[in-house]
Amino acid sequence: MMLKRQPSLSHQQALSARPVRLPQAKLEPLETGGAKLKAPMRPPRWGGWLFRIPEGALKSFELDEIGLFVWNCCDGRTSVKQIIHKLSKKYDLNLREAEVSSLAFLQTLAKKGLIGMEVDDSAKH
Amino acid sequence: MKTIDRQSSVRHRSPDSGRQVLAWQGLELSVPRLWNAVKIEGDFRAGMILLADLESARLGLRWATAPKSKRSGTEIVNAAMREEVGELAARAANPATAAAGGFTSQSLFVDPEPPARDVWIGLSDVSRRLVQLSYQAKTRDGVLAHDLLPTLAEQTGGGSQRWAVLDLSCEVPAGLMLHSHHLSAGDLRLSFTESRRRRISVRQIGPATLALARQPLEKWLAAEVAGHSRLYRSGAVTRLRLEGFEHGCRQTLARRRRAFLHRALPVQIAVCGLHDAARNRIILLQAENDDVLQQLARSVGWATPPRVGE
Repeated sequence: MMLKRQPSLSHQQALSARPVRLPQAKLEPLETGGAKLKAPMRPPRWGGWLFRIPEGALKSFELDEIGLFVWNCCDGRTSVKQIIHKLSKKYDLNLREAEVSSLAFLQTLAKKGLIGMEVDDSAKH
Repeated sequence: MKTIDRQSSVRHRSPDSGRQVLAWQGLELSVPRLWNAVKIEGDFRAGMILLADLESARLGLRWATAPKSKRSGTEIVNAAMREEVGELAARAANPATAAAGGFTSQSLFVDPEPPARDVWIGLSDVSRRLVQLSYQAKTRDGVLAHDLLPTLAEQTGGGSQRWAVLDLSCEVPAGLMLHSHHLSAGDLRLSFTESRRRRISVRQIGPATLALARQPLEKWLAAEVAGHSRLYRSGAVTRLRLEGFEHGCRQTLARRRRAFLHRALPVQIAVCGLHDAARNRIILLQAENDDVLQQLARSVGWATPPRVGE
């Protein structure tokens, strides 16, 4: 197989998973209440050779206040479900709105390789 | 500067902060706060709403206009129940007594072996619609019969119709039908129309602290009216003072002369933006005139439960 298959999680597993942020990522607070997130650039398999990405190159992302809040919750101890409840409580959001926005944001972070998901073995089976 | 008296407005607070009101297409129901609409379909005649908590679907609310026939209400309800749960289960269903008023013919089927689906079907006296509640019972609890059914009601054809979904709630004048709904996280909008001449739109953006940090209220208002610029000429933005809101601004749009072929469209549209500091939301309203705009502004947030510590 040329393509690496992503491990699929059920909705329940995704809710009980605990996101862990990339340890190399650095945060620079912004005046707006958000932060700039800088993480080492990881070239794709052949990209390092093709694009000649210099050693230590960084990619940066701008997080708004809510993004920063969710990022700070990605400590490996707080589950996705707890993040949703915390977000809903802190910003007085409807639970569904908090769920949709935080799941979409965590998915984006995971796609960019900025967070990993810790899933309990018990939740997998 | 325009000042609107908001003293007469009454905010209906839900007595239990652990519950919230769902009001859609004339039906009203109080549900636990953790249950939210995840799927909405249909119109006044027929449609459905699926409510779910974080884990799974909990309740389905379905309505459909009853078929025209000489059968009695009980026969119509029994036939609908047979179709829904099958012949044997429908025989075990009982004419429920716990439902709210307005449903003379009704039937409740409670599955004896949960996890299973409990079903209630009633025929509304007000709109002649068959209303169905399907509750996903995880254990043998009386949630459907004792918590949900007593709160189910159909709004009678009064002066206005109440709407409440997710975090957005408002009251619109009678006769207006829902034209479209866009319910995105943090940006909720309901648009109503009676004919092309009468249009109303209610939009809520939250949290206001973040939205206002991105751009001021005047720019939110400008973005709201931008879609009308082809057919409408925008007037000056004036400040709007409204009791219960931190600040506000309003603008009137007049139909362009060159849009003479669009005579069916309203001659003018009143648009306003309000900052509801207590709820930390921005409200953007559109209506055909200032009176309707004021009515709408008074009603927005009627279903909001009191905050913890209030």
